[in-house]
Amino acid sequence: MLKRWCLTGAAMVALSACGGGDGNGMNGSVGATNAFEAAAPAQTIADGLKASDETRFREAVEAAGMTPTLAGPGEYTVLIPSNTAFDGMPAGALDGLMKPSAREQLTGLISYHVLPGTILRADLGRAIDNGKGKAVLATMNGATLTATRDGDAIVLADSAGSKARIGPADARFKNGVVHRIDAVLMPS
Amino acid sequence: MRTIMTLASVAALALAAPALADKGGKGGGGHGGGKAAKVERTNGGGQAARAERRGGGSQLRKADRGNPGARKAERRGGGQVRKAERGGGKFGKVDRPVREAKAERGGSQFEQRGRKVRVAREDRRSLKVQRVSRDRDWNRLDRNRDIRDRSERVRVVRDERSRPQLRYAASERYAGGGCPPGLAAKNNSCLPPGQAKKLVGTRLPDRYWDERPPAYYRTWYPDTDRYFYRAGDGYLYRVNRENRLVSGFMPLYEWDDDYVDYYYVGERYPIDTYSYYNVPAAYQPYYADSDDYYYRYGNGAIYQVDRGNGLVEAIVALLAGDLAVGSPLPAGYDAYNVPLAYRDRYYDTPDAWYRYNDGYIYQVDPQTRLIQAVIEALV
Repeated sequence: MLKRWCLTGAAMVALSACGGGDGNGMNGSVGATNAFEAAAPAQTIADGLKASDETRFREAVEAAGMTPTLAGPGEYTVLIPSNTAFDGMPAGALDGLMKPSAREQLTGLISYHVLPGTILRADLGRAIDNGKGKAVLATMNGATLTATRDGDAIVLADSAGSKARIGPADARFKNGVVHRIDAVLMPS
Repeated sequence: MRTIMTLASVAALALAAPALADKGGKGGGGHGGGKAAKVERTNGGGQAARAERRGGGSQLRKADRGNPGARKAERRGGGQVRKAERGGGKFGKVDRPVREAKAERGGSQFEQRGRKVRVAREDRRSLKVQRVSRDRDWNRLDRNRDIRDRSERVRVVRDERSRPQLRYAASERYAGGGCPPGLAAKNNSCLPPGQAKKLVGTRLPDRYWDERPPAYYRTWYPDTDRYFYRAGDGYLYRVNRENRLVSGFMPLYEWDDDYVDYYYVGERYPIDTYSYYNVPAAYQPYYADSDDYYYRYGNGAIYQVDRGNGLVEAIVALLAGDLAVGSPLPAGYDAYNVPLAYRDRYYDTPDAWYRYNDGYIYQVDPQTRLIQAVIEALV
């Protein structure tokens, strides 16, 4: 699951980061942030998506005409549902969203998986801890996500309460970072 | 009322999708990419990016990004929040008549909006950019100019600290030569675009001189040696500094608390009405008009628009419009999100937090949670 994104990240440090875990990354730890800077790869999120196994999300992004967004300056944190996650949608739902007549809805769905800025898994963990168990995350869709912990895992809940667990995380690209999730999140 | 979209309703949408096909001439469109825009950059000291438009009405455009340091603490909040015409929830909003019906609800809607915005401010910033109106709705607006609703209606505006306020729009503005009551009551831009467009090439009306744009617009469109910006009656006006004539205008895209109503691929961007290059300054080096495409901002994104047919070809950047100097940090920004390359310089301390939004890094006071300054432009 995680190997593809890590390899796509084209950085050895990204490889180590993809295992998840609350690494260091901010808040006074300059040494750690320097390590992040050194890890910044040359590829964009769009490059990584193009080379990844997550074909469903890639096709959705292309259909929504948003590939240039992920190839642009960013910076974004992109939550990428796995193909399996899309398989978990109701029968016909994704096919319906991929039709030209549903582009407005598809755009809303994709943008719900794009967050402003670069948020590492460790940043999420810290925000959850500082927020007494939860952190609210703005998305480019306008609706929010709520992040909580479930044991060692970080779980994201959409406004309907549906949850997605962050899997391989912190694949770093020139214009942001990518986390994989195991369910498709739905905006209100 | 917000409609919660469940997975089941997605399925329902999927089943209904064919019936919606090609509505309003949409649906064609292509995918992203397209011919790359030709961009000419200048470097040094955060200097201007110069983009040369080609084709019809080509003109030289200079984006003065200025010295990033000089931006510090200069942009105060303020501006107005205007109503967008919305349908139901994002996924439920597939029926245009429903959208229009909601726009007609009148007084109770204002109460609802005020409540919604207040709740949103308590919960998170959550005022979101919404389209004021699509071009196809302008005709309806023009028809509605004859509507005379003399009752005072309230409109949500943001004060200098971006706190929501309620203001009696109709009586206040119309008396001063602003909004016709019928339009103000509907919380739409109170000047029809056809009327606003007539201001292009004329001297900016006196009533707009003191109307500085909302804070995030000021960040996106900083005054330059060539232009300055003013807001009025639902629009942002670009004014030529030399002759004080209006040289372009665009809607002040609306904010709401649930979702961003993007233009989507295959939809028509109102390029005929809003013809000037309006890409926010920080992004101009990346998105200059080309022989094949216009690049335009609208409703939370920058779009690649086909010169030939005016349809959105791709969405090239998403803008949140969430942070502005003088405003409280929204709850949606609890997590540190500064780009990796800048984390060695801007990391949270007990005295200052840093957050990224739309190409800029902002400094936040941890005690008050007020955004204190724009400290760096990244794009």
